[in-house]
Amino acid sequence: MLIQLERATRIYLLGGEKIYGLRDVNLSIEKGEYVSVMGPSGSGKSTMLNILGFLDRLTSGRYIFDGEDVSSLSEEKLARYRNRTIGFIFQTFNLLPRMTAISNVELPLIYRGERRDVRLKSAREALASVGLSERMYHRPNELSGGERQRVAIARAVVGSPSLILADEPTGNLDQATGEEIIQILDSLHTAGNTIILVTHEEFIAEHADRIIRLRDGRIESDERVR
Amino acid sequence: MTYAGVRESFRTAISSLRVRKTRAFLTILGIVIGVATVIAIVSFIAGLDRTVEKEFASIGSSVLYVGKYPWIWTGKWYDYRRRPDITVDIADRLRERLTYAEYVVPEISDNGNVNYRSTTVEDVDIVGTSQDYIYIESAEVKIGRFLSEMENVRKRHSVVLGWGLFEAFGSDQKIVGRRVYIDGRPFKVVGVLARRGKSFGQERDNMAYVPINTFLKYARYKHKSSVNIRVKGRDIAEVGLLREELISTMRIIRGLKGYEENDFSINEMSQLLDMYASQTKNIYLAMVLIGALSLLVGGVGVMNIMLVSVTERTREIGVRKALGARRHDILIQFLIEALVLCWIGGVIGIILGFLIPFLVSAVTEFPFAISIKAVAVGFLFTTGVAIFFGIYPAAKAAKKDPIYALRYE
Ligand SMILES: Nc1ncnc2c1ncn2[C@@H]1O[C@H](COP(=O)(O)OP(=O)(O)OP(=O)(O)O)[C@@H](O)[C@H]1O
Ligand SMILES: [Mg+2]
Repeated sequence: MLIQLERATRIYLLGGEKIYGLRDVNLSIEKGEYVSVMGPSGSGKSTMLNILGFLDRLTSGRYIFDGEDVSSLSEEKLARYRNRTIGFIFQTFNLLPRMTAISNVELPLIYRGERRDVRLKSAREALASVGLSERMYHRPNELSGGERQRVAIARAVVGSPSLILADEPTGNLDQATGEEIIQILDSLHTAGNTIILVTHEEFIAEHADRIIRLRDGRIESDERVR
Repeated sequence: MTYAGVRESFRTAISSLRVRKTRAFLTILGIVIGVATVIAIVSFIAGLDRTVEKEFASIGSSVLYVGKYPWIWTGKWYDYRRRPDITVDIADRLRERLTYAEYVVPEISDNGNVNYRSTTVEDVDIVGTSQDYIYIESAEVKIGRFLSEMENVRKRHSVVLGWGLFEAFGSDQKIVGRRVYIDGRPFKVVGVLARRGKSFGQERDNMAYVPINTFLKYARYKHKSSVNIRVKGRDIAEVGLLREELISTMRIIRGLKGYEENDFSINEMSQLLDMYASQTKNIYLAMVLIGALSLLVGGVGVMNIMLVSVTERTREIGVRKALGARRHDILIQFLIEALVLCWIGGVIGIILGFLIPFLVSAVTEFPFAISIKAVAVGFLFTTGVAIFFGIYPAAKAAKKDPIYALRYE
């Protein structure tokens, strides 16, 4: 078992008011699974992804990652987990604008303390795997939306993470480009990666093996589609 | 933090400063001014120190000066004015009695006109002195000879010309033995001194030397007729003994009783050196203060631009954290940015700080010396400012919560 949430609850405090991001969520995900997360806006999809990606901590409940209780890790440990085990893909790409594609892809390895030649080699390979060998020295503003998201995917996979988290990766792309991105995720899954994909689009969600639907911070349904 | 991270931070810092060139430039202006001030002052003073040391060394420290007035006044001027004049007679008696003295030379000077044939040189330093002047000054006779003892005793109208006068009169070797007129009075030229150059910025070639007794015969103002006596010791190591002997002998000559204060002054170069040291220390302090103040202003500017930068790049911080940056990675990244900013200012400041005294000394004759100490001080100052004013914005950046930072528009 790669991921286990037990009665996972995340409460935001907003001006004294409690807002439930997640409420008593129980969930298990196996290594190698391809999971889509769906649900209306505000249902807790991003909250769940942030928790799973070590960007945020639970208010109560337990998060067990690869057999280890990681519910209350120190800031330093969280950063280490983010760096070594997670590959994040965002709706808005979140590339650093003044850096070239290859420098962006290099970043996780810098925080890992890798040597420069190792970093550059891995970054080149990652960019090649998303078909961007010709665009390595372009800056984000010199790339199309689809190309930017492919750079972001390269950055997510460059450190061989155990879990790839994608929060509406096609949300800012047209349908055809979105399809390309999903193709890449599919192939990553085929290569053995564990992927959790948040999306609003049914036809995209159907690429996964399993669809989890959230509503008001709770799991409404959890079905295997393949 | 790894070496890789530091390198990357430098690159990020430079590219992010490039984006806000104008603002960064304005910010570092304070640093530039501060560092330039410190460096310029330190170089000026180092140059001055060197010249002063050289000059003092050339004069030698075993010379004491007996005068009516002290060089550094500590009392009221009229107390000094009331003192009896120092006379040539005193010099003669000192020469007889002082066992630690090698030379005792009386000296007095005034300005006058010197005329030779159709040429008149105005504003010449006319020095009345005795035969040993040439030894105590280590001057060199080029043509003829220097004044003799007999010429003083007899109050002869003899004159030795400085090199400048000699040239002004046409460099005529045959001038020796001829007559020149000092303020209308005829004097026979007995010799010409070799070129002496400058000392403490004072011209020493536009001079004429006459027997001091002759000089005093014509002294224009009675109150200006007190002479100065230079006493050169036999040995630098015995200056203390010479001073004691000189003071007690002067008191005997003046017939002072035990309770009476000295009615003369013993001056020496080391007093000036001390005064110079304490004066430059004050200038030093004032300038360092100005420098520090500009650095402070610059530092506040650095803090401001860094705070703006941290806010503008909130999302970047979020992304970096999502990719695994730890707090101290972010902290060091922004500290390095502040350092780069300050070091650029520091380097420009150091260059300016050297350029200004260099140009000044090229145009004027002001001394100039490059001081490695100044560079070190400038560098340390800027680094200190960068860390002191950069730490708060950097800490602020490091503490940002990744999920809030990632949502920041
Ligand atoms: N930082 C926060 N502070 C306060 N409330 C928050 C915060 N983040 C999320 N929430 C609230 O928690 C709930 C879940 O939000 P979340 O962002 O997880 O929804 P989502 O399913 O990702 O929605 P969307 O599809 O619009 O992205 C919402 O009610 C939201 O307003
Ligand atoms: Mg969301």
